[in-house]
Amino acid sequence: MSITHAGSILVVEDEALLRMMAIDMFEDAGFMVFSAANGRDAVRLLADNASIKGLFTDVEMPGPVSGLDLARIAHDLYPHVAILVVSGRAEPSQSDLPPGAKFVSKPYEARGIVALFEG
Amino acid sequence: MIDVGVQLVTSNLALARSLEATAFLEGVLNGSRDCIMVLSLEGDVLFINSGGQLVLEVDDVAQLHGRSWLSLWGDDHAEAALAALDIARAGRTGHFTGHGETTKQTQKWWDVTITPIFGKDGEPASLLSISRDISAARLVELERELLANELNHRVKNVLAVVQAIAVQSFRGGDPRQIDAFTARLAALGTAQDLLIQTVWRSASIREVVERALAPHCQESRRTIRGRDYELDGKRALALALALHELATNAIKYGALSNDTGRILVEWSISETELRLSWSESGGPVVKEPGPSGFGTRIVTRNLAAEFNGEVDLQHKPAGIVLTLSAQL
Repeated sequence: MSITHAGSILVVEDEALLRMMAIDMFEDAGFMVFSAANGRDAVRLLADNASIKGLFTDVEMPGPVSGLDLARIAHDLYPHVAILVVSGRAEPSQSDLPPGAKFVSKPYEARGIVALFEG
Repeated sequence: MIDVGVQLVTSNLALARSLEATAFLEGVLNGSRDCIMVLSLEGDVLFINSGGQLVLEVDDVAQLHGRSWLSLWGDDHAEAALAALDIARAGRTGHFTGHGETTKQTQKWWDVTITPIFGKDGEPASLLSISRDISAARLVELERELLANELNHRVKNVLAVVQAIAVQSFRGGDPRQIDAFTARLAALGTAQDLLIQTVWRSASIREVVERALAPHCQESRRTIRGRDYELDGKRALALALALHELATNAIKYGALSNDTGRILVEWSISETELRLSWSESGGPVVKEPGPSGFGTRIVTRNLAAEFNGEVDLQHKPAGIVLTLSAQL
């Protein structure tokens, strides 16, 4: 996956501190960042902002849309969006992740995450 | 006449002994709570003991007679069951653990041993299958795995929160120090993932090395050599952290700072000793390091302490070489 810095990244994380850290991580790397604390808000942001080219999402979040659901929705409706799923749980099986999506275990190395989006 | 009388008495005694032995064997078979089956060489059920009928919830034993033993195992274990059957047919002992349904569709876990019953010609004439119901133990094990997974998830989330607090607390400071700290936490999290597989008891040395190097070094630039060995949890963590430090140092100043350098990690294990080495080659000429920082202490002191061994770290011009020698 490769996103130019003209594209925005959507950070979806229910833990406020972790969300803050992820936002800073992408902003420091020069990206414009949208953020949401749950999957449902993230779906709305994806629909309303065509500039979003990357999705960075946690797996477990409150509400009916989990991070894996969100990743599948993003893949089906916005195939141009690069997807990175993070979790403290074990890596999901390939069938749980949409094609092309990547997984990184928490805690993660900021430099590696940004590099994944920059391709 | 006398001879005939002696013969009659002898054969009556033999018959009595034979009946006694048969009754004894029946008592043993029926007293067992294991499912004991005799199978034909083709794998069809010829006999099942009464304990087996009970654990398999068989109302009518005719349901089982002549049925293929392999059909008792679910698809997940069909291959293991067939392999065990083939081993027994070849005259050896086959073994596997798997789940199968009883005749009333109750799922049970079984520990299965299958052995040949030899005929007078010394060749397997039929097969003996002994299946022990280990469902209760398996359930405890599954619950323990679930708990361990949940705990691992929480530990890793706490590590992620600590990471976030550190990043926010030291924002505006030296970004290299924050990067080094967050990367160490990430390395710790990766090692936790490995340890969770054995509920923190041990981890494969090969996997520890591979996972520690994977984020830093392309496969084409590393060689990992050595017989696999299970390290205990504390040693696995210490090694993972040390390799992380060596790899990040190699990226900044060593073999991974150019396009051609290589890393070799190899180890040898005897009954009493582990010798592991990290060698860099093809990188820029190594300069003598300045005062040792925390990274160096993780590589030397922590590794030596957790392995109760000795660590030798040399900054050779051709590349860093680290050697760990530890008693097992």
